[in-house]
Amino acid sequence: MTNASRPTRRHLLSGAAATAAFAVAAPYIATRAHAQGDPKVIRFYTQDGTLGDLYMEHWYRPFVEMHDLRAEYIPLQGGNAPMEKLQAQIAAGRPEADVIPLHGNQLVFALRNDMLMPVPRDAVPEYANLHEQYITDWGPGMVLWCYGLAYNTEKVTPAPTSWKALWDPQWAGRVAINEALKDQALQMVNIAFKGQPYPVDEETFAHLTALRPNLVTLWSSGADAEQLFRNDEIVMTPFWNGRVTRLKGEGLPIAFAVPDEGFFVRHSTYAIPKGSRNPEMAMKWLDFVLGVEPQKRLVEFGYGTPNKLVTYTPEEEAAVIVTDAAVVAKAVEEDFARILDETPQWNDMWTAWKAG
Amino acid sequence: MPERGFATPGFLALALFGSLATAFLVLPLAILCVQSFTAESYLSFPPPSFGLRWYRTVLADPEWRQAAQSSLTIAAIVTPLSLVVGTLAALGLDRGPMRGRNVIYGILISPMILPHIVLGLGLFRIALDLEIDDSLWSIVPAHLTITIPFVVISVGASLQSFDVGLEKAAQSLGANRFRALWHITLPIIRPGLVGGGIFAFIMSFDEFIITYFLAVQTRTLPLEIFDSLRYQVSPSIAAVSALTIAASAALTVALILRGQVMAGGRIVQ
Amino acid sequence: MSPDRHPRAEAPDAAPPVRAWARIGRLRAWGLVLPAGVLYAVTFGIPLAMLLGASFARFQGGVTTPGFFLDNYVKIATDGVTLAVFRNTVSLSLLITAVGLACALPVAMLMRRAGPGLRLVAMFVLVSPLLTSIIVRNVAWMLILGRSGMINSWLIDAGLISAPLPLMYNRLGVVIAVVHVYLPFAVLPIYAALRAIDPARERAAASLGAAPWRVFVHVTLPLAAPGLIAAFTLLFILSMGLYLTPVILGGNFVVTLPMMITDAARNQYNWPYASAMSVLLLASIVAVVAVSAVLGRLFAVPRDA
Repeated sequence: MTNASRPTRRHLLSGAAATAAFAVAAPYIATRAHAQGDPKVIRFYTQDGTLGDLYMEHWYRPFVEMHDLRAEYIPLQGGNAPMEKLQAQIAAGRPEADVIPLHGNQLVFALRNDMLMPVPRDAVPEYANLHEQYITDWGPGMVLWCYGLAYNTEKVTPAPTSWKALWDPQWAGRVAINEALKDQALQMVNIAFKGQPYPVDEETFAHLTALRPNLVTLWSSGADAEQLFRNDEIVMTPFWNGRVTRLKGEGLPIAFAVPDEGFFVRHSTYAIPKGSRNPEMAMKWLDFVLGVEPQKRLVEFGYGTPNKLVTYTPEEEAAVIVTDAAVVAKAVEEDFARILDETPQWNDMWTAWKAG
Repeated sequence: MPERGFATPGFLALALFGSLATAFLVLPLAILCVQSFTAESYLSFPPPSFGLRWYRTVLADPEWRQAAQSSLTIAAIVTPLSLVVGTLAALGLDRGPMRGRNVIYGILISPMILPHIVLGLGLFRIALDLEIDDSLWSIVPAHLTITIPFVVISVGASLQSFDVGLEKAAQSLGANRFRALWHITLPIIRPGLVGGGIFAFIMSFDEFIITYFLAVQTRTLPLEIFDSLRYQVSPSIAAVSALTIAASAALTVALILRGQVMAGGRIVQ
Repeated sequence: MSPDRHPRAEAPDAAPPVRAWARIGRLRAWGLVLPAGVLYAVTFGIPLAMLLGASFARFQGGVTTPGFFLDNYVKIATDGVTLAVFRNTVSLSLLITAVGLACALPVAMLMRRAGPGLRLVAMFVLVSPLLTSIIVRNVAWMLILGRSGMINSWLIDAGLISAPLPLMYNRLGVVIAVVHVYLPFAVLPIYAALRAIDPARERAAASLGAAPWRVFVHVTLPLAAPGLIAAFTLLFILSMGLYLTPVILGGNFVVTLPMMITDAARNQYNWPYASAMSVLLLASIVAVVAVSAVLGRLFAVPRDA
């Protein structure tokens, strides 16, 4: 008995020794130095993938070198500003980044909860070259993207011209809509059948129920939707133009259509959180990144820009879609305060519809 | 029960079931391993062409390496700690008064049932106040909270079927309580300890949402995987998984060769 | 060899002084729970208190007002959606638990019969699903269960079906993927309990002429009951917390309470309502644990036998 249990003890002891060793080695996961306002440090959100590389290459590094700064890069989980986390951080006086990109409803939320620092217009000279509608007291709007119909060009012929193509009975079990940013999906149903985005009501969900036999799934991220096309699960879905451009570039038979009823254009407002440790540099960065060069890089990637001076090649025009004010004017006008206010009700109806 | 033999219908049925269960358990992992050798930039079945492209990508990427290192470090600190604290608690429960035992047991395993997002945000607010967010000082206790229940359950189940008479016998032969515990009880409840330890390690290694709240610059594997998947379902995650599986397989083989686990098996037989 | 050395020696007929000593020894044993208790007080007690407090706050138009309001609980009881999703979650969890236990019992029995080497391999195979991230595992299942996935392409190639079967984006896909990963949580407690059974008891029954299945039903199973109950509890509790798998393999159509909680917290920033739903989830699981604890006592292995 004693003999047999000896290895056990040795094992436990060596385990304890290993623990001690790890505890000694651990500080490399450093206790974060909670730097006080250091004018030489700036903290940016980074992203994965080629878009993240682009930001790093053309938005952050040149600026950091130009001003001889030290940058801390914080991964932007899921490509979305983590509002629930930021709210607590800002309340504690320590937001994790110095510039945060906010969707429309996130901006309303942030303002109602007093999370942002004003950005004076004269602090950003580049505002002079921007379309007026992208300038706010809290920072500029940029990175324009569109929500339209993505479809498989080999299977869906002729090309769809209406959102109602999703309801076509020949696509039973072959289309999907988005769970991510579902407020957009709900407004899409409304403009398809009612000609206006609001109100989201029982009629909206009656149309969704009619769509149900065609739906194979509700996708939760752009990557999910891409995978659905690749694995031939779906032939059509409402989607984002940037992703479609990339899939097309990889040789997949996918195209982006702007339906006749209208489409959606969104952008992010780049704001500075209260408690930012380097607001001065953050504002300088906003001015830098709004310039033609950094904006042009983004256009090459398929996103629209608020800067009037940026010019487009024909391919870029086709990919970016929102290349002039006339096209943007065709976009459905969204009311983000209303979206924020009504999201609880919309989500309840959405859940009831899904479970029903 | 060796005398019952291996050719009885009951045993054959069990063996058949065992093979099916193994196939079921291994299939997705096998698929992942195959996928990790794809030469394409996306996942599909079957992969059109093969290559080592994704292993090169993953192994050359400092971010993946750093993430693996953090995850291993955290799990390596959390596992022994949760084994000690959890086993102590399970022993205390087992030896303590009957009255109130269920209540304490319920409390001990309750962190399992709280959705991690709720626990995560609560812990995050405390960590912010104490200024220990984004460090091991908050991540380790947070992980302990979700791993200890598994140890308590696993060890507790072993203790319930443990015949206390053995420990008494050792004490009557002059061993003190600690020696009796060390030489008799712990070896016999070893399956429970091993099980609890494995669960603790894995729960910590795979924990996502709590770490997501607590971490700012600290990167763990689940965070890295989640991030990369949000952007694109890329075969790099298959390569990472294949590497994890290979490492654990190597560890298992090493254990078999060292005869560690067999010694444990012999005690009860 | 003083009586207090081994409190377990207390027997119904022990002398009163021995009993008193034993009681003190037993109370002292609770000191062992202390380290866990201290940790929990900070890392679990405080978040829980915050949760309870938040569940009574009011949320309107994105702004949270602290205070004592019953809005959230009234909403749970009356909106018709939350309770329906809750029932859905319970029935899904029961389904997963039943399937999981049915698969786990034979596996645990096999492991008990296997030699040490094979047992280790079995242990590795069992735990291996847990070695990959939950998201990655679900992606692998999509490649197997999908429309043009492995199973459907094989069945179509073999001429057994003409159109792909809907194997995922429904309950089936969720149950398959969840049982796959939770199987070790069911097998290991059962195995630990089986392992501790003295084979002599079964041999005794067999030598008295009992058929193998009778030995199994009347001797093995009752002795393994604590393990079975532990496995049931674990599986059920874990299933009640399901979030990512229903999102990915249920195609978001299988809605669980944790999905609603996460949505409220992360997409609506509605912390108060998320908290109230968490309290509901917590209360329901505490009830299950209480019931299983009572069952566990009923089936407890007689000690000192």
